Amino acid sequence: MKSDPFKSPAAQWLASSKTTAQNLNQLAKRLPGWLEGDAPHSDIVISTRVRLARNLADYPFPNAAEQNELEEVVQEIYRTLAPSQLLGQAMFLDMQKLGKLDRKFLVERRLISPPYAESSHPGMLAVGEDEYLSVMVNEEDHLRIQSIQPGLNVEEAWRLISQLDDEMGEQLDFAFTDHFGYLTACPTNTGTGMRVSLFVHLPALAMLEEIESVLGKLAPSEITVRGFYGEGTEVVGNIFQISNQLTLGRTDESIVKRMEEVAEKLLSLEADGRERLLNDHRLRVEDKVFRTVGILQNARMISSLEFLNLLSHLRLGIDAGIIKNTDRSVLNALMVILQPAHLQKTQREAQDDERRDIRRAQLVREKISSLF
Amino acid sequence: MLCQICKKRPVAISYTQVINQKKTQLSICVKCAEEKGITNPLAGLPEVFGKIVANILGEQALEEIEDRPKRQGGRRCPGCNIALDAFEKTGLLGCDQCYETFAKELTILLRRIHGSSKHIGSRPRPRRVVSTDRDLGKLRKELAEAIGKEKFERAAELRDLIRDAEREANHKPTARTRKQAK
Repeated sequence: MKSDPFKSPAAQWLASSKTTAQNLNQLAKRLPGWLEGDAPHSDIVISTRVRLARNLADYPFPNAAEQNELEEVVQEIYRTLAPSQLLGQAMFLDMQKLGKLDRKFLVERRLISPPYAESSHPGMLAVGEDEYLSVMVNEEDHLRIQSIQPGLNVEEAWRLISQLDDEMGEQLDFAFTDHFGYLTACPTNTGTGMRVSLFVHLPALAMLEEIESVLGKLAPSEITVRGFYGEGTEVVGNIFQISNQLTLGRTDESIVKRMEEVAEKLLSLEADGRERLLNDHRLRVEDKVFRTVGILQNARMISSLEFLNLLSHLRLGIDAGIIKNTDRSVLNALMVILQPAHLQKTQREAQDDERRDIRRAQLVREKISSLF
Repeated sequence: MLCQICKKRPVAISYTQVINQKKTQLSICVKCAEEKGITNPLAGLPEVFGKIVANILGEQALEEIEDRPKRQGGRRCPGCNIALDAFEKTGLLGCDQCYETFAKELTILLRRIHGSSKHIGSRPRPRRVVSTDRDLGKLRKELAEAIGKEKFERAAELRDLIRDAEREANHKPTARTRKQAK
């Protein structure tokens, strides 16, 4: 679709945003493309995300802008993105038309951030085909462009996001100076505005209680590690988010390269950990895995947090060959569709916590039984 | 221990972040975790903590500017009217001009955060698409600058862009004149 360059973007935008509710329901019925289970190193790296922070030169940053300025930003960006081939069959969601549940759903889907979900000012979410590329408008910066790939694939995620960044740069004036680079609301993003994150599953390092020392050794001043700890020292789902911390004084290439090096190191440490774990404690690991299978096949209520921990054990069982013939992408899909807002949106009978836990257990029994 | 968000229910998970070997933790209950949509470790929680971290770093860095006169705390950016002490509180700048207004403070802060205050990464692509009257005005300005700086290659490119856009605009007499942002 070639848009009329002088037609009011407001009119175009209004026409498109009428379909917001329908768009979101379509999204709930589909699965994102980055769930694929046989991508490079997907036994350890679940997905790779690259995001860029950008602002338009003519407007104050979202935290200091007036309502009408934020609306203009939305329209300018809509006008730029609507005809883009890079997004394929794209969806444009008017954030102000979305309720609490829809916003929660988008957070779970990794398309918006938790603070963006709470914001009430004019914003837009553009979602590219299969959710590989997406753009949040008026989050902390005017533009937060995101690219997600399954497994370890920094190069591809970076290639796709750079294309979109270049295309937008040819049509918009980004806030940029030669000295400071891309100007962002928070100085932690100034410069390249680029954050590369790897979502890694490290059950062996966690079980061997080596995680703290390993993560501490990985270039601590340049890398940020995030995780959800449960009661005690167990990390929920044994999943960690590893990101570059520095965005200034580094080239985009060197950030990509650095993160690839970190990934290589982590891969070999976790692989070594799994080997030791299976050599020294094989029976204990098998016991954990088969108990997990027992719970998944028989439980009548499962909370979302419990499910993440069970999933981690099951995943380890598959990776270690204890459980055979199982497709990892099924587990990745369950990780997304069994989250609270996803269940609430797709299952009519899952409207409160208890009924969601019951429905979750039911769905797990159905889907998991086909795996064994 | 009680949830740090609702301060009522017991803690079920702690969101932990390690930066520069310094650990920050947010301990919350299941209900609040689900409420905030953060039960999925894949979704992450990056920006919530970004602000807090900027605040801590910001205060430390700004304290280092010893000769900072008191009145500077109230200095405001002409672009967005945000004061330096507001930035110290929120960790957020208000517009691109803040980088000029508070250049001295920011240079120190950026060095603390990134170990550098000079960008060496990618640059935006030169403009190639003109879609509003305001764009046209900007391109004319850029053309004058390019000629002034003897950047003739870019000037020729800009001249063509402007010519094409003007031709197209003349075919559409209803083209709206857009309000200038500033």
